[in-house]
Amino acid sequence: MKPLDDVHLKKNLSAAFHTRPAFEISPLWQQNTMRCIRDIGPLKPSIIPQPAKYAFAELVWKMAPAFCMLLIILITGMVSMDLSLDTVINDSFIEDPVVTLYSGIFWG
Amino acid sequence: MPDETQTTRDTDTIRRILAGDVNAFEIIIDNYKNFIFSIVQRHVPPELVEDTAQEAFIRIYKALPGLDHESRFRQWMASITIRTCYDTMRTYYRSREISMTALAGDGEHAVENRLTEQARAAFRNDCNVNETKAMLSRALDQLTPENRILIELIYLEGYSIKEAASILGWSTANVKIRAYRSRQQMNKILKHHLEA
Repeated sequence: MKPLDDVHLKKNLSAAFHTRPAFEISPLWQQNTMRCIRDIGPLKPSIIPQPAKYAFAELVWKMAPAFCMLLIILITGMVSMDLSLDTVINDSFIEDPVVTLYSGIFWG
Repeated sequence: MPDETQTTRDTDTIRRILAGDVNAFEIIIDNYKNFIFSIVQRHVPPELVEDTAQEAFIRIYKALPGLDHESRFRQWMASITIRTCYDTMRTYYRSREISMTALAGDGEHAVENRLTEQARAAFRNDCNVNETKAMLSRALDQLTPENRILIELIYLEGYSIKEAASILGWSTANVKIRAYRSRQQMNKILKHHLEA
């Protein structure tokens, strides 16, 4: 039989684990602990962990300016390349659309 | 089980602390230091008990804003304390490994012989409970910190796999596998001690 399967031994081990001599807490322990707590100071909102949905919303708002800039750059780029819907449709019917597209980009 | 009056008092104290009254935390320490010390004492060596209890209270203070159910304050504190004990033991094992490996070959054997001799002497002189205690302590010392905390929680304190997983913040599957391994390791160590 394995030692931990022996009910009697397991009971003895558990009793031994729970039997501890009385521990004398040093008189300064509480003062030291409170000093550490006071050093941390009042719990500010930054220490308070936010729920996941708030953290996500915060991230979205932080990234918003970058996304807007990227969008503006893309739109400006598309306008400067003259990639209007009419041009694309005409080109697809008249010539090879791939060649037209790239010739438009590189040679204006 | 905490009584209703105590829960109400705790709720008021927690609200005061969250409102910025740092000194109100002393009420929590006064009310629960014996409870926290009783947990810490079971999981760490005597020389580390005070530091670990202090660290546990600091962690409890910092985590207070995240407390969901004030009625489960006691269990919540116990969980943080057990995790703190586990972290302390991990650091303790690491430093102990360094100091043991730093010894020269002969020195290491000398320490081992001395430890064994001390244990044998203790076995001869002490009564049955003390024998079991010494054997348990030596067996636990040979386990890894992960296996040790699982043996303590599941086999000695009687927590379920799910409860142990919740306390340690590990997945249930992880706890199941580790518990099985730690049980095997503990059986081997105990067998060795019992045969010696």
